Amino acid sequence: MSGAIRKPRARLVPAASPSLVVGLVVTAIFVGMALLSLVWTPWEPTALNILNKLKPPSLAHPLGTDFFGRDVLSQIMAGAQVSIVVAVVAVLVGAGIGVPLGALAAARGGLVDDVVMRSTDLAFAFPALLTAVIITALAGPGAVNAIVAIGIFNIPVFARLTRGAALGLWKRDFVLAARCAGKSDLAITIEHVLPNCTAVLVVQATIQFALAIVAEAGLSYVGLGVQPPQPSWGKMLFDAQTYIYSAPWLAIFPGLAITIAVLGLNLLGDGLRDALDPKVRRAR
Amino acid sequence: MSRLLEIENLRVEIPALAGAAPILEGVDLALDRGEKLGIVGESGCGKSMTALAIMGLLPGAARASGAIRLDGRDLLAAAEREMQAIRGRRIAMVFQEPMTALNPVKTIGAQIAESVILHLRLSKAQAAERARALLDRVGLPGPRFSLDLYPHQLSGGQRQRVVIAIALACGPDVLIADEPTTALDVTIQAQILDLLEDLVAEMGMALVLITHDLGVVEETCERMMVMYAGRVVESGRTDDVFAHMAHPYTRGLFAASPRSALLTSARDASGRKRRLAAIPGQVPDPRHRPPGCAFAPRCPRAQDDCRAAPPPLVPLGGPDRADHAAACLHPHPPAAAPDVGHAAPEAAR
Repeated sequence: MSGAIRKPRARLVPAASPSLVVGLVVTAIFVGMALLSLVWTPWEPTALNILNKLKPPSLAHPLGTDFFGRDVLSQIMAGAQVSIVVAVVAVLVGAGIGVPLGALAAARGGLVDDVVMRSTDLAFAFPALLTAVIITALAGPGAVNAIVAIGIFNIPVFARLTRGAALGLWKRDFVLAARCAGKSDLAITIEHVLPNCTAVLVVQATIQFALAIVAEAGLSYVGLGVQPPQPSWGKMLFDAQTYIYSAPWLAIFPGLAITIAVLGLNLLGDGLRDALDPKVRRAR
Repeated sequence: MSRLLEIENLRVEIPALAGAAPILEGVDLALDRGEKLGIVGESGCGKSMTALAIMGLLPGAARASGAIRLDGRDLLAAAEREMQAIRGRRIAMVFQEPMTALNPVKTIGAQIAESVILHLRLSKAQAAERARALLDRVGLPGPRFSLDLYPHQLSGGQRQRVVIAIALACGPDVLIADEPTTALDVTIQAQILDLLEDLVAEMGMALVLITHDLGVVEETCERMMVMYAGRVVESGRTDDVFAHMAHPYTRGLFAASPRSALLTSARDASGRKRRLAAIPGQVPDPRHRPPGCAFAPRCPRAQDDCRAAPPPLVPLGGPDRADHAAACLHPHPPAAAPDVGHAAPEAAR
């Protein structure tokens, strides 16, 4: 007699696709770099050293120094902090407001649904980055306003995604069964609908995270993100413009940091989708 | 003295569908503790709507009138909050599809415990204990069937047992089983029906068994009700209905079931293989329901008066069968009752 019933395993054991592994490694490196910069950087990121300015990469300064003689590697490490904090909080804000809105729209339907969905249409009608620029321009530059600005254009993304996923779930038998068990719509949403949406939401959060990093860099680039002397990738790119021919490493390395971080997060998102979405997994 | 569950002149319509006939019309039933009532009919005849109406879970656009009383309290007039306290606590439901009636991302233990925690205000530990006891009772003993299993780790029959455990969690007074065995293997069907019967006897519930399988009703229920196009066309004690089959639709249903083929010989007089006698046509769309008896277009006995007005459900009379009623102007006479042991029912020809 074989024990047909296996002990349940951890549910998140995704088949390790190459994109998932690469994405995880790259993301882990960036997060690790940001954490490390809290306690140690090769040089003080904001320490000026005019005698040492615009030095190309060397052993002492692996990625060179900028116009003020600040170490580029140390700045990139410290800049990762800003990127990650702003992106994480912005995505949390977007999901924290968008997911309940979407769930509400799906649960109530009718007028509520229309109002929420038309509002997201309206939000989508404006280019996201432009909206963020307007918001920070009106509210003033700074990390908090950047978070709010990026968070706001994450709301409709999560609202729509949640509504779409939840609408399908509301038609499922187990939701009817839950209603027959006397549960309120709120309880059903929390206990049955949202847990079934987590996979798709996690994947979307990863992708939104990458977009938020780009958005933060963009805001810093136009001077609306975090303010100097706090290092940030976008600001570094802006400062490097002037020296693009004489000191190209100043533009290349922050640019590479942004590119690789975003690429890594997108790969992670793709890998997670493959691993978590049963439809994709079956197709492979 | 009011009955446990009483439905009087229930009518459900969807006003948005202009010109549509009601989904349900003039449905009456009464049920006491320990009683088992079968509701039979084709798909789309209103069986499941009746169940949803009792649960107060009709689709948003539907309007119900008449009365559904639980211990005298009219459920149609009850507020949503009150209904939530009744659903799962006093009236519970078992579904047709055990594959989809369970939440795939939660353990079966959590799904059973939820209802107990909600209605009986038990602690988590007490709820887990009760969930364990319920699983043991429905034939999923520990430790093999742990509370930590997910639905995908169980077979269809095992899942249906979990669904039943959830329904029974709070000791309901009325259990509505909507085609509880339709999606299961034949061998499992009998087990699940036996389990339901045992539980009804043990817990003193009333059972409403919705099915399209006359055999299931014959074995399980003392009383039955045949529905067609939103109306009750024949009702009474199961024995009486089977002995007489007054309404042509009841006969048609019986003739169309493989069961009737088993009871008659597989080959007819000339040696050809007998085919199941399908009822020609299909249940009329509520938007194009005929003015008279809804079954008239498919009925071999229909006459002109059948097409004038829907016939009322009238008692057939006769000794010892006061309950037996049919909504037919030209019912089969009792003498023509199909002798299931020897000949095919008339409608099977």
